[in-house]
Amino acid sequence: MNKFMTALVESSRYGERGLIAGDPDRLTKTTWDEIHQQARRIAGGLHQAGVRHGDAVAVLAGAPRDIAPLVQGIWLAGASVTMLHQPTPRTDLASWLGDTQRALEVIEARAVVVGTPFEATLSAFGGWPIQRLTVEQLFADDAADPVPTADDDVAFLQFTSGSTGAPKAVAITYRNMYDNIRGMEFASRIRLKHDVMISWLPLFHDMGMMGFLIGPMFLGAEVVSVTPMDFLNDPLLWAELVTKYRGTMSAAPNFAYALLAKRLARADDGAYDLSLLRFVLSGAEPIDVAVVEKFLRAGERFGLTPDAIVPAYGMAEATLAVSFLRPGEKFKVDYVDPTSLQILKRASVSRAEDAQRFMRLGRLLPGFEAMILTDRGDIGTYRDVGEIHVRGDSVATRYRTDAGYIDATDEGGWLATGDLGYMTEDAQLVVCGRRKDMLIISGRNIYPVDIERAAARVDGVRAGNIAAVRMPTDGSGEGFAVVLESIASGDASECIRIEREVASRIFQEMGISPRRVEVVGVGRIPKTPSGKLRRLEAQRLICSRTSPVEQPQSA
Amino acid sequence: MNSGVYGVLQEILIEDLDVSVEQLHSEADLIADLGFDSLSFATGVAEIRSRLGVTLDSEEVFSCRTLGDLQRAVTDKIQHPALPVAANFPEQLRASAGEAP
Repeated sequence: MNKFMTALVESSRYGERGLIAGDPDRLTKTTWDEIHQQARRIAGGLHQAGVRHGDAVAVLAGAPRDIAPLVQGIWLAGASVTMLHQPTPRTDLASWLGDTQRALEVIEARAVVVGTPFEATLSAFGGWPIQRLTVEQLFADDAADPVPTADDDVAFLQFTSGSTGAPKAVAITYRNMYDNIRGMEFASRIRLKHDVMISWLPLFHDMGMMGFLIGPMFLGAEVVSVTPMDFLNDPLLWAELVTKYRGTMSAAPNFAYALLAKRLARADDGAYDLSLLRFVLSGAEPIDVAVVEKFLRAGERFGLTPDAIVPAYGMAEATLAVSFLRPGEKFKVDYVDPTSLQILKRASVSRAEDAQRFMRLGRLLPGFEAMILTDRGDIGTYRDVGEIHVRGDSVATRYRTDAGYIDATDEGGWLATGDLGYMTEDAQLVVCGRRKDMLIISGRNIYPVDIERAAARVDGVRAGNIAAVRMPTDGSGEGFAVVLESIASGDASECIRIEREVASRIFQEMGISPRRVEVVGVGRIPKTPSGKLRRLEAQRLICSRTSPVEQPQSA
Repeated sequence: MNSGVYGVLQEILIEDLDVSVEQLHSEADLIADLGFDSLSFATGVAEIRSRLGVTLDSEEVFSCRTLGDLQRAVTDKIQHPALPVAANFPEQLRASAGEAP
């Protein structure tokens, strides 16, 4: 067996720690040993269903108590795991099914396993050349012995977004997971006897899956896990769980801390005890310094300490974490001269009032190297701004696409992250912009093509002449605007109709809404001679109308 | 009573959803004008429940196009609580229905 699975199975035998999950009012604990026994039965069921070494198994489930044994059981059966994009009450089921089918084709899934609350979708997969299984039926099977797997076998095929056009999955190996989780273990100084992890993060996202399910399962750490719906229904549930279970470690994207800051500020004195929290990570979304400050101010009343805040940087391609602040250190904010940043591509320290603030994202995890590649193609030194490249055993080398496997790294093993950033004198990484078109809305990675495709379905919009662009606003996170061409651009009432319909169409399909929709005349959207959109220029079109001082590249 | 509900909705929009005062009018389109996304809807529903004791289901919420529609949906639910859900919050319900906040 590979070293990851060997360690995972072994740590399940020690101690009474496990996964505390279920209905938020009545959480119950399943020890890692019990989960391992369930996983062996699931592996038996999968084997019976024809799943073999190297196959891909897709999972559509929401409950942590289903997902933990399922993931382990799929590995014990020698197969790889893929978490499918989940339908919401708003989702158009026909288009979700189309997307799901494309995703299953890309990974050539042998089987799909459906759990709570998605059992009803099982019949929808009928007629597809795929094994359809439920968690419940797998739980009832006879246990099987683990199928041996190698360190470089694919363990996880993680889709990088809900991108419907060209689904692309990061191929995470056992070696990648071993290296990254060991790195996080080291850098977080986790102690199994004392630490309790608290999470509501979605398990179809790398931060929830790797950080708060696979991580604690591998280490044998105690984790309390509820769902994103539980959290959104009542964000203070997080503070309740931290208090009740004496939580010490947690993580979330920036938007959640903004939400919590507001709720905590209104809570009664003494309602919660956040004093044991020593590791509160902010990741998966650009960190707004003001949000961290507000969260701290609101939390201090309940014993939250500033050195508990852990700014971090990571991505699915690196399994999860690339850098984070070390425990016991207080986060540091960089004040940077905006002109130098924009023109000279240098993050010069500034004490002026117009200085831009960026959070330092901690030092690299052990096993990582980073390189800043400037626009001129040089390797940057401290405070030179360029594209962040990372390398190490945590970094996946391949993507799985509809054209098979493609390289994710170059011949030197470097991954171009698409993020712009620099290194500080104290070896901390700072992200100050993004080269790729991708948007990050409330912790979700969104590709502009998907927004543009939704907008194109509205009457009067010229297909292929739509640009979804980033639209930064202070205080309320990353947003986007849509610029589109229409022959009716001179007709005010028609423009209003188009703007509204485009906004609600995008919301219906994706659950996100543009900050602004702008209808322009035919030929106004900037394109390359070969007809490719120039989104960055289109972004300037919008930004120039809002506020001339806004930095379109700031993250 | 309506002004009470509207007042609480205003508070939620300004305090929790970062909507500016100028944007607030009953014809404002929740998605197109106020930029509501699924997170805003979830937050709004949670706040309406905690402040007004009214639980709107997702169908009821998504059928509201404007702020006025949302106000009517909440008011209807206070006057005709269809399910015993509201009974969990009788005191909050009486307090908010009886007086402007």
